[in-house]
Amino acid sequence: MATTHRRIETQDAKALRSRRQHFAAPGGSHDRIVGFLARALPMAVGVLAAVMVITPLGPRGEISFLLDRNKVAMIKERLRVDNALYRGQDAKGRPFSLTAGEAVQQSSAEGIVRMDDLVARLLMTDGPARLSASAGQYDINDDIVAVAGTMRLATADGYRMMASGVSVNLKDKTLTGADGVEGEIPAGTFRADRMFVDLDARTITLSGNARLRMVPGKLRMP
Amino acid sequence: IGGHNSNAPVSFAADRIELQDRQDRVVLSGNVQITQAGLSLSAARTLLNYTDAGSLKIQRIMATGGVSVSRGNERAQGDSAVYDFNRRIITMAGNVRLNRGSDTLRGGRLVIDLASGVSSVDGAASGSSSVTGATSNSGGRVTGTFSVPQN
Repeated sequence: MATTHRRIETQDAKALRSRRQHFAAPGGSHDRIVGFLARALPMAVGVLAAVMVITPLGPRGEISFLLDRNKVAMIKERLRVDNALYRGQDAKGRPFSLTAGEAVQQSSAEGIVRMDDLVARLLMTDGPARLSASAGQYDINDDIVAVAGTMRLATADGYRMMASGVSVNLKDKTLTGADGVEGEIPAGTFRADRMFVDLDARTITLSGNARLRMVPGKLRMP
Repeated sequence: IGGHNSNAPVSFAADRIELQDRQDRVVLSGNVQITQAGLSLSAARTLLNYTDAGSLKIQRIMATGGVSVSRGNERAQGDSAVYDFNRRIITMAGNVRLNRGSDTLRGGRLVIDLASGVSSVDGAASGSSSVTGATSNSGGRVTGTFSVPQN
C-alpha cells in the first residue's frame, strides 16, 4: 500500500514502538531504501548493458583477436624443422638416428629433405658409430643421404674415415661415390672416380684411376 | 745405388683398388704402378699387407702378371715379385731379365737387396744356395751380356 497519506496515531503510541517496529514501519528508513532501490536498480541494469555493448567497439585496444589466415607467419616449404631428429631402422633391424641443425623439405612431391650439419648415429657390428657432415640431402624413401662436402665417420674402436663426394645408404650401411671421390682412413689417403664402401666390413673399393698414398710410421687419424 | 728408404711414403695408382681394412690388406688390379722414393714397380695385380697396430707398417707387396721394377738406371722384369719391407729385399721369379745401363742378365730368379743395392740372379726359378751352388732341379742357366768400354 503506498505510504503517501499520514497515519493517525497518538504520540504515546509512537513512543511505545520498539526499534525494530520503527525500522519496519511504513515511511521508515527501510521503506526509503527499498523505494530508492526499486528505481535505482533497473537504471543500473540499463547502464551496465549499455557499457557492455559500447566498450568492445571503443577505440581503446583490442581485447579479443581474430586469427587472420593472411597475416600468420607462413613458410613456403612443406616442412622446416630446427634440431630435427629422424629415427629409422636399417636392413638388419638395428635402429639409427639422424639429427640435423635444420631440415627443410621443399615440397611433398619430392621426398628430399635438405639438412644442415647433420649427424647420423648408426649401430655397427662392433658398436655405435657416428657419421657427421656439414650438409646433405636425405631421401626419405630409400634412406640415402647425398652428402654435400665432406663426411666423417668415427666408430667406437677409434676407426676414422673421411670422404667427400659420396652418398650414404643408411639402410645397408654403405657409401657410394660416382663422380670423383676422395677420402682418408688411418692407413692412407685415396682418390678415385667411383667408390663403394661397406661400412660394416670396412672394405673400400675404388675404381677408375684410383690413387692411394700410404705413409708408413705414425698413424694419421683423418 | 743402395740405401733405398723403405719407410718412405708409398703411392699407388691402379684401375681398381680394394682396401680391406679389417684384414689389413690392399688388393690392386689393372696396370698397377707403385712408387716409393725412386723405386717404382708396375704389375697387373698386386696385393699389399700392412699392420696398423699403433703405427702403420707395410709388411710386403706381392705383385704378379708381368712385373717390372725400375730404380735409377736398373730395371728388372719378371713374372712375379715380392717386395719384403722388413728385410728390404725384392725377390722376382719367372724368366727374370735385369738390365742395368747397357748390361743385361737373364735367369730364373732375382733377388735385389735394397739396402746394399746388390742384385743377384739365379738360374733356377726355385733358387739355389749361392754357397753350394746346388739347385733343386736341372737346367735354369744364367745368361748375360755386358758391354766393355772401348778404350
